Amino acid sequence: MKIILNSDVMFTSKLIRARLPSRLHDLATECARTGVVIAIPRTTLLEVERRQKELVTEAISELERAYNALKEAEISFEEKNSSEVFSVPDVVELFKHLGVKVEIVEPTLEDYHDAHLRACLHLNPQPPGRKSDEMRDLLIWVMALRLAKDGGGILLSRDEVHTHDRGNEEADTAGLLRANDIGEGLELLGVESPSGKLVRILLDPIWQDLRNAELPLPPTIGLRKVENATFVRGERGIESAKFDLHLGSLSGGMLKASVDIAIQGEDITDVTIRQINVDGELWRDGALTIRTNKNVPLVASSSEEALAALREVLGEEL
Amino acid sequence: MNLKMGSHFFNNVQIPILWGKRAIIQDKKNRLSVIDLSTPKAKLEVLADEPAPGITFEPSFAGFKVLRDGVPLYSYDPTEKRLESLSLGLPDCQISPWSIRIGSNQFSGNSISGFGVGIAVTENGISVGGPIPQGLAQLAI
Repeated sequence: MKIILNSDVMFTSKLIRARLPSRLHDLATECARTGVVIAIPRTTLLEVERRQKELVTEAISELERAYNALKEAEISFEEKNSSEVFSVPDVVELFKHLGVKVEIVEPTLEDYHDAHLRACLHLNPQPPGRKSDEMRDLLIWVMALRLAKDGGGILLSRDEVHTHDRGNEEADTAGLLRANDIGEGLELLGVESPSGKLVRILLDPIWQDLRNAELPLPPTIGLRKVENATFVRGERGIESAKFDLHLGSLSGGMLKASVDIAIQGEDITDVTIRQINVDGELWRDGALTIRTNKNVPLVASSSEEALAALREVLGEEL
Repeated sequence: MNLKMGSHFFNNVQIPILWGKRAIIQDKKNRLSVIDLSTPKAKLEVLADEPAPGITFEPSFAGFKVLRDGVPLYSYDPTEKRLESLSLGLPDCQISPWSIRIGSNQFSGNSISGFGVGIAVTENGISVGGPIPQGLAQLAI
């Protein structure tokens, strides 16, 4: 399995220095853990490097302006050569440093011919009516198909050409999965989503309460899927959560339900479960409500300091 | 208000960036807040890079999505300081130390003085320096 990166998911407005942006760092760490190879088409790498070069130029200008301001103010300081302070990062090395295997994929002549034909003849996967025949996007598409045919692949891209349903058939045939952000890509690799993690933290203290209320839960919970999870932020942390979940039932089948959780301070107080379906059948009347008092360690920082900082900026508008 | 955001100086500007009907403000610790002005009373949605109290959100790997009535409106990546429209029909907006990027347009190093709105972003375009559109709530929290 390979993860193929388009430039838009690698885009950052910040100069990359000693560390990859956090989302790329997470991706690389997970790929290293699971043995997934990161494939970076040369086309993507060139774009990333171009952007980083622009950012280096901006950073050097900014530093030189600061030097000049200090000199004009006659403030002494140690002046370093600005072009030595900022340099274009070696993105590939930063990935490799995290233990992940990285392949730079060069487009082949066949890739160019294929992309050229698609551009000229407006062939799939370009959406109908698209004004620009972007060879770059088509080249990455052709390369992703080629790579996926050899052991499967996930193309991480937000580009319309790469995500349009006109590419479905080709992607399926080649074994190419598509994700429009790194989070979705990580989920395809089986990494727990932030929503799933939060739901698990909320549910861990109350499983026994639910068993006590006769919900047919197995001794060990196997949370299989969390969907439609939303949370409401309170003054200090989360004050309510709502989600649908799928988990293994006591008989080894599937239990599905919609859950509402109310939290006061650091304690879960009310749990309302609806549409409870066990092994394909509605459980009792499908609903269960429990009141409890279980502590959950989900306290966030107080919003008071942040509000004061915002009010200070808004100033007289208050 | 007077503030520096994304290398721009906003002097005597009431709303530095108006993204659709949402004001974007950066505090002195470079954290962004988003305030919805489409309702009769201004409503804080993002406070200092986090979901504001009372707001429904969905965490994501990069940050979180802000929802209303179950509909994801936009996502916010606090590391990249990037707002991405999910159903508002607006171009992305990103505040970096050196520039403000809106869609594929990059603005840097400007000084905008004496306007109701510094940079206004709509579904149809971007304007720099203009009056506050009618029908918006007062920017107050």
